[in-house]
Amino acid sequence: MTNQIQSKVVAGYLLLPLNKVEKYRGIDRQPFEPLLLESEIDPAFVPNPDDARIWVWYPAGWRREAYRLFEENSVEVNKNKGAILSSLATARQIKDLIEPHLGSYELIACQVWNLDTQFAHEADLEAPSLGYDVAYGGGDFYSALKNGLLVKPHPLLLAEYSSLLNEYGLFSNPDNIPAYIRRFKELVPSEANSEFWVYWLSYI
Amino acid sequence: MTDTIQADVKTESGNQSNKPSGRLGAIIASLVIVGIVISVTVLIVFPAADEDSGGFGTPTPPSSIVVASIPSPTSDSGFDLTNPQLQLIWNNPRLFEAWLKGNHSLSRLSNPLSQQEAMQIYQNAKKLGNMTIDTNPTGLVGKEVTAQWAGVPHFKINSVHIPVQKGVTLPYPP
Repeated sequence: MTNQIQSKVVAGYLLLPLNKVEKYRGIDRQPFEPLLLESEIDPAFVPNPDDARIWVWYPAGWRREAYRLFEENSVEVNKNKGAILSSLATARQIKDLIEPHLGSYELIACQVWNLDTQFAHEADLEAPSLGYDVAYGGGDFYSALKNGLLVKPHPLLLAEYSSLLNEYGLFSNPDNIPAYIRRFKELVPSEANSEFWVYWLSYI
Repeated sequence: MTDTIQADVKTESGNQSNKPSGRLGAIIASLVIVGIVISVTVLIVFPAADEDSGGFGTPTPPSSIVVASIPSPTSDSGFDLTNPQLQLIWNNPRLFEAWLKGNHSLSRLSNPLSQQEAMQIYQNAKKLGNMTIDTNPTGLVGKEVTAQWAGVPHFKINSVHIPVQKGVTLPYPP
């Protein structure tokens, strides 16, 4: 049951690396988020078994600080702390910390809701929108638009839906997303059981 | 019902292992490797002069080498589950997912998980209990033709794609 998450749209900010895939500005670009990287965690660190924080595993430095800021300001999506930040000021602070080490990132505002909800989201129509993506609510943020229409696309999906893509590789209108996902699951069998979320993305 | 998926694939090394020319090639390769090791040893013990500085070259100090605190398996021995850090990570769903995503998803595309590693991860996700496991047959045998994971055998834990070697089997449905 997804009643718990059907009651709201999650809003916040994403940090996404530039130029991962040409003509695609959606969420499936490995958004910055705290990870446990074996090559960088402190080899001598043994945390409290009840401590689920990731930043505490790292020695002092930019990554520890960026992860700490992230974990203390992230928004829960799909019952998990994910890649969305609640505070624009913190997102800017993290961007400044990571760019010297990881390259350029862009700050994107987003609103997220479960595809199965009948939600009228609260998009600010005056905001400079990139468009709508439809992707996992966490994990590796696999996008059904990027993976059905842009990277090794399915010819039938291309024929039926590519005309709906805008210049950013996203849908400009969310109305076609439910039908698209039904078709995507029919034609991409390895994703038949996947759960998808709608992302409305906008420039800052 | 529980089925397993088996990809019908022979490895390249398996096809070559009984050929005489393969044995000769292996001997030559061994001699080359021994030569390289001796050369490297000599260079470390007797470093060459550094033309720019006018002094002697300095071997890279050990402190600059990034050492993984959690040793990655080099064969199909699987993960070392006696490692205290790994035990802590594997007992916490959030840390387990962050560890999977950071070390065993896109970064393992060129070195996909072995049968033993995949089964250990699958079993731990089952043990944790509140994780989504997807061992879809089309994905696991690498028969998907669409999208960035097309042709790459994989399964998913909590929506994280994990590449596996051809022929890896996991229970389906999970």
